[in-house]
Amino acid sequence: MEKNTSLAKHQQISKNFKIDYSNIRELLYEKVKARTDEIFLICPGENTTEFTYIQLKSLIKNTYNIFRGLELKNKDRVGLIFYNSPEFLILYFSALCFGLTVVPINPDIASKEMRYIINDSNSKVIFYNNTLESKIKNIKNLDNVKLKKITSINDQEFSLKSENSFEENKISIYDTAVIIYTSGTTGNPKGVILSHLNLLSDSKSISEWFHFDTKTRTLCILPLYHNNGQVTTLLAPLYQGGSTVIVQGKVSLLSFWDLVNRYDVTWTSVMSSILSILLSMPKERKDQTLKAILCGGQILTRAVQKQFEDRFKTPIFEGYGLTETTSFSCINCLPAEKRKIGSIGKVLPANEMSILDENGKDVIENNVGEICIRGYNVTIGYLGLKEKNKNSFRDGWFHSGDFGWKDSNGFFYFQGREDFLIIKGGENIYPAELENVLYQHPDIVECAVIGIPHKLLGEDICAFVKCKIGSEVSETELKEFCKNNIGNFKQPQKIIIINSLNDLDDIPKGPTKKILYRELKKYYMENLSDQ
Amino acid sequence: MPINTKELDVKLEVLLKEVFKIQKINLKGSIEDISEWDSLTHAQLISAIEKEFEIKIRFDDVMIMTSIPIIKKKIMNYL
Repeated sequence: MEKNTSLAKHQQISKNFKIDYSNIRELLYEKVKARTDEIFLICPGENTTEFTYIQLKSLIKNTYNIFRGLELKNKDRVGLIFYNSPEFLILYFSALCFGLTVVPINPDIASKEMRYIINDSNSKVIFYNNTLESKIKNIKNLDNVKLKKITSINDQEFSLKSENSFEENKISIYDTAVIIYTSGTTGNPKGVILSHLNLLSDSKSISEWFHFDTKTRTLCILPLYHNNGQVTTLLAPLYQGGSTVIVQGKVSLLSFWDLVNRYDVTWTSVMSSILSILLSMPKERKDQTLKAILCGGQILTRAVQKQFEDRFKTPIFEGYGLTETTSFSCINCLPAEKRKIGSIGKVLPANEMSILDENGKDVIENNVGEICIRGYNVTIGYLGLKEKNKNSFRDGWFHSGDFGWKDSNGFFYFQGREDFLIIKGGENIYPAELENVLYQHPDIVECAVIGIPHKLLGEDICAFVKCKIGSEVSETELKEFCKNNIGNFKQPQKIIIINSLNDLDDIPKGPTKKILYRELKKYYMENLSDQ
Repeated sequence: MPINTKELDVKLEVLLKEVFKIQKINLKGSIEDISEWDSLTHAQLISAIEKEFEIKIRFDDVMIMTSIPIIKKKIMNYL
């Protein structure tokens, strides 16, 4: 690795951790040499597509032609709007190898939200799947952005050979590889800048933690536009020359055990809501290959873990991480007997973790404080958010905003957050995101959004709204309004119009008029939770 | 059990509205444009189709039944 001069304080660690490659291209090309004709990617579907390592490299080179045709240069940013698909994979690896920065965009967010991300990231070209054309056409006011529709990697443009004499662009380990957008407390998403170093260090850590090798085959059902899917089930197996089966998560849960069985899957990574959904289905496990499941992103209850492990006879390794830490920063210990159930595990080799109090001092063992992380897998910061960066990255630590504790054996435990983040089926949603939309409705005077319990998704969304006197707007009309203005997974399950309640006149607020979300949730749980 | 396309449309419309808990459905819609269509409702939808039409859908088909026209085509193949 190059000298540490480009590392921020919160990216440095005192322990020894060696990165073997200087960028994702070098990692991939090394694996192509070692695993040439072995399968790396499998994309099941109507026409199942498989890529060996060498086939992927060849497609990457061909894709460079498309980039050059679009006048893309080293370090330019490109948006990718795709569900998990061969098209995403080819463009993702091609862009990283070419020296571009990938901005993956969730296809389920609204056109307005897409526009924000495209403009904020200053993306030069947006690649999108042809099935999303109507949504893309609705993205207005895109200046100097080229839109490139991709129908299939079987299209002729992916098969045009690239010149062999072409010199690869220089890529530093500190160069930005991806910018992943994550929910923001104020309503607008924040772009988390992740370098090649971030991706390499986290994927190496995870792959070594679980002893991945060339026989490792992961199943990727989590979306590749988020960090967990990208790192845990794509880059971590790549780091050891393994392979991965990539499917679109939305349609794969009923087929989960069949996919594991057919493709001899050895590892996968899921959100706890997926475990609950699999438990609710009458499908049983048939394979003999799955070694374990990695689980993070949502609180995993002991009951779900026990039921799942008892029924499907596979251990679940709970971990913890954020987009800001590339993916996981701590995971429970292998082998399964060494795990501490209920813990989010021990610190990964690429980073350090501490529990700090409000003054930045270490909290003593078994006492609650803020979970803080530093290391090679921690982002340099949020794109263009100076104030937020000052608050979140200080005194040599990334302050996660999550609270937890550490026991005397070095195991960490997650307690919760203070900022009312809603986690619905693994997707993070801040109340402000939906509140900002609701406030645009002419009849709404005031609103507050809370997370409410959902048996399978963990949480769902409930909005309390106060309407103008005399307003006759209905819950259905308000839901329709939301549909046109915010992404699918951020839609409220319930909208409660306060004017129609007998025992609540107003959204509860404190002396400074700050909304008391806890009070509102308490009211919901006591009065409305069975509706 | 033979069924004509009109009967299939009627049955499927009822079923889709019930699973997605919506009052109107575009029979040309897909997973990309029906906001209620997520991983959970997809699983519920496939189970409901299996029950309603007394068929067993293969897992490869489960993964590609991502639009109502494809679902209709697949059901017809099974019947």
